Amino acid sequence: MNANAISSDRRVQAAHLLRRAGFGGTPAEIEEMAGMSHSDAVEKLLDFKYDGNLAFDLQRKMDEAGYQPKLNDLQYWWMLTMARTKQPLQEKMTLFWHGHFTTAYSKVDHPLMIIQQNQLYRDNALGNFKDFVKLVSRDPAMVMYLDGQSNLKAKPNENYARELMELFTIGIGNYTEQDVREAARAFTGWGLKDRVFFYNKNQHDTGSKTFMSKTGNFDGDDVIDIILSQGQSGRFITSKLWRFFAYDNPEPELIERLTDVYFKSNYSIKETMRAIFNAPEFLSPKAYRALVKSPAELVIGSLRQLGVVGIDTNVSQFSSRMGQVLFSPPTVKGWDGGLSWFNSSLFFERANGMNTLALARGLNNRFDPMRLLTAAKVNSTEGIVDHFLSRLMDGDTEPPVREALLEYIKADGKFNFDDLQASAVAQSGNANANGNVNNKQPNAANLKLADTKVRGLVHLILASPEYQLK
Amino acid sequence: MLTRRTFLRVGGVMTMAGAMAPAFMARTFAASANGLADNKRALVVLQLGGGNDGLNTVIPFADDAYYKVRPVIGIKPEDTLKLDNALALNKNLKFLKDSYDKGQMAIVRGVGYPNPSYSHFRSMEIWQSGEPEKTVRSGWLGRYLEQVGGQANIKDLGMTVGSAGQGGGAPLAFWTEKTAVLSYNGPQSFRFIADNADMTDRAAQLAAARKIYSTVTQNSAAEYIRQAALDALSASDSLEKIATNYKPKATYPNTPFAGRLKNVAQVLTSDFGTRIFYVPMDGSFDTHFNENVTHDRLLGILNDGLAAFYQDLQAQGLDDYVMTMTFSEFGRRVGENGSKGTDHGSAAPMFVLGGSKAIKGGMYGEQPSLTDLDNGNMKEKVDFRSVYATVLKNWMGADPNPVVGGDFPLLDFVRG
Repeated sequence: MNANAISSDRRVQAAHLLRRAGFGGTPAEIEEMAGMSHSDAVEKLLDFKYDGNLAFDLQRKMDEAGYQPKLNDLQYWWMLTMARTKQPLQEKMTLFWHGHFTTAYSKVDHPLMIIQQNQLYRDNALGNFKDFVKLVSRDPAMVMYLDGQSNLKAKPNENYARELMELFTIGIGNYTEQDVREAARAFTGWGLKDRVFFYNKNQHDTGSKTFMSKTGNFDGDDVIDIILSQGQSGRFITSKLWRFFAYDNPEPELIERLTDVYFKSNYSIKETMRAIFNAPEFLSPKAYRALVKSPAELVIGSLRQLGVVGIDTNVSQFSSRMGQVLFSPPTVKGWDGGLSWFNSSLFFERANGMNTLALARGLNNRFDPMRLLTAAKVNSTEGIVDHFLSRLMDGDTEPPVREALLEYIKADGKFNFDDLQASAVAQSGNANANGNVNNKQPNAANLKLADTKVRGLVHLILASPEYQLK
Repeated sequence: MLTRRTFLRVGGVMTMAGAMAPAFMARTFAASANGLADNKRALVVLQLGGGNDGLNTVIPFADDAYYKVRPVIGIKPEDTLKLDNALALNKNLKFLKDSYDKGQMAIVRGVGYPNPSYSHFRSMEIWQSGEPEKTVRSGWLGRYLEQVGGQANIKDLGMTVGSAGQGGGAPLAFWTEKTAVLSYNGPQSFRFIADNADMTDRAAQLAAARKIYSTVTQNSAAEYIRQAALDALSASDSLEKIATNYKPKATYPNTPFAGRLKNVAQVLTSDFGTRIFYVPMDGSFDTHFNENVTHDRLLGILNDGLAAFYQDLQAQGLDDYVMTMTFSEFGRRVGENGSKGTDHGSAAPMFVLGGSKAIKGGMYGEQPSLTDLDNGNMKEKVDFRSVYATVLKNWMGADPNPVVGGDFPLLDFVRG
């Protein structure tokens, strides 16, 4: 065991890995991964089968019904996919690529193009980065978003050329304004016809271009080849992946190692991700809860970890209110992430969104705390607090936080575990749900108090500073 | 024996703003020494994100070169609001035209900085940090607050209304290690909600939450979050009361931007003490494609929101105490592109407006030439730090040099 690892406890390591490579594990998922070595757990996460039918099923359904999907339909479909997937890394990578190769629904204004793009990101999530960039450059939603259809020979539109370099492949400071103009020329004629990529030969500038010190009759693919062959491009993409999956400000030596893997594997994202997850730094204390959960991660994680059922069509609104509107990033740079997810009003949005989830007693987004407690054979008030701290926080909490939670749930001695059971039975309408109903008949106020307190406890944990971290 | 928690105390190095934890203090705003009661002057900074096209905002209608390079999107003289014999405002800026005519708006022309960046993100960072030469992780307003603050209520002095960060969160403009100011979007969502049917439980949850958020951790990210939470909790009751007491004296348009200005007016009419407000405009001014449709609409939102805001402030007797300054990260290319739009450019005008006792209206700076260009872009005539320095010194009474990092010539648009 590495002395610098976050913990020798495989459960803590597995929980950490699942928060990064997924959306946070349930106790069963964590237990399963804790039963294997870290590198085997990484392999299990990396080895997903492309489940490419999901998006097209959605398309088919909508076509059959003659229904024109709206933004919320797309968001709901993706949130549901993230909440239910057995291949969390696939969706986590797709979320990463969505924030990287951003495209905003409002400008594309065509739901199926957005679905198509989302599926492109899913299919190439761990693919070859060079092929991926070439596909993205032809993706209809991207072409529309960054004005490819109006990049014409006589008057090039620089929008795509600039963002390709600044945001997608190499980063500011590594190209000149002249490179932007020349790259825009190379992409002239890369447009759309009937919402499908169309190379308009007549609008392509076939003249000689000088781009990054090379001269030739370049087209868009040549430009991409030239950019991606630069060492800085490798450092740019491996650092961005590291910052999203591990921690900010990675050591230069670490980035050199990852960049080496990236180039030696001929731009393989999968090899790069394997190197990231298996790097000793990934399991170091510096990485532990060092990243802020994005709103989508917070919502999806809590749905999964609380065993929420009946996920409602309004689920994307939770994430939107907290500042992450899926398919609608604030700028072409995507979301800044990190502490920029936080300020005083976004704190309330997070705390209040988590409150709504904790209070979901009905059929929509139903959260049933008693089901979890019964399955875990919890039978005391302290046990309830420790169960949810373990389920949601790796059991890793500052002592005063646990004390505050305990004091809250005890409610000056009015909380009674038996009342909670009876309350759950009353709510489920099934007297035998737990097989162990106390004979004592508590009054309605006590039943209500017990249910309120356990939901309030969960709310307080979900709204706590450390639950906002992954 | 080392437990895992003690292990972790050495870890948890945090991301971007890691060092910028908001200072924790009890809110005693009612006696704010820096509130409007003592020094009534306030500043509202409006951010026009995306790169506003200065040439279709303040239109050089007498310059043939303008129509020559903008045959499609150039705005005809008869479709403008003329200010003098050379320049006119976009026709959607009627309130701003009236303000200019009444001497209540200054137009600073040709504002930029040397070696302009054409990246939205870098250029926005430059405008917000006030530092074009190198990347600094602090903002010009944050540095100003540090200078005048020093006392406990430093964070009450600033407020972001709406999400103005480039990634949606807090703007760099306000950031220093001590000045993570409140971000406020109106009272509806600015409160801790528990089970609405059980206010006793809400009180119990709040008590527990305060204990949880007061528990110091060794993780700098958790620290930042819990202190933002404490600040939010301590401000929410006051802001709710302020919102209840506020009676708008104008009808605000139904746009998110106007709603934000209304929230600013709310706070200005109270003794909350905030003097600097940072407000993002709606939408994006990044008009590469079919510019005029989007641009006209956005300028209309800007104009109509400001019209209601100043009507309200005037009726509340506050317009002479509130200066509003607009900026965008850059202007746009002089020549139009092939898609009825414009690509990223450089120098652009800024508007500074307020009551007649606040502003010495008129034209400042110099209109950049449309023919003497740098790679198709105008050459800047006024450094944006001159505008910042003028506002800081002549309006806020501060020493601008440490804030803007040098001695920049002042302009004359502040009255009194």
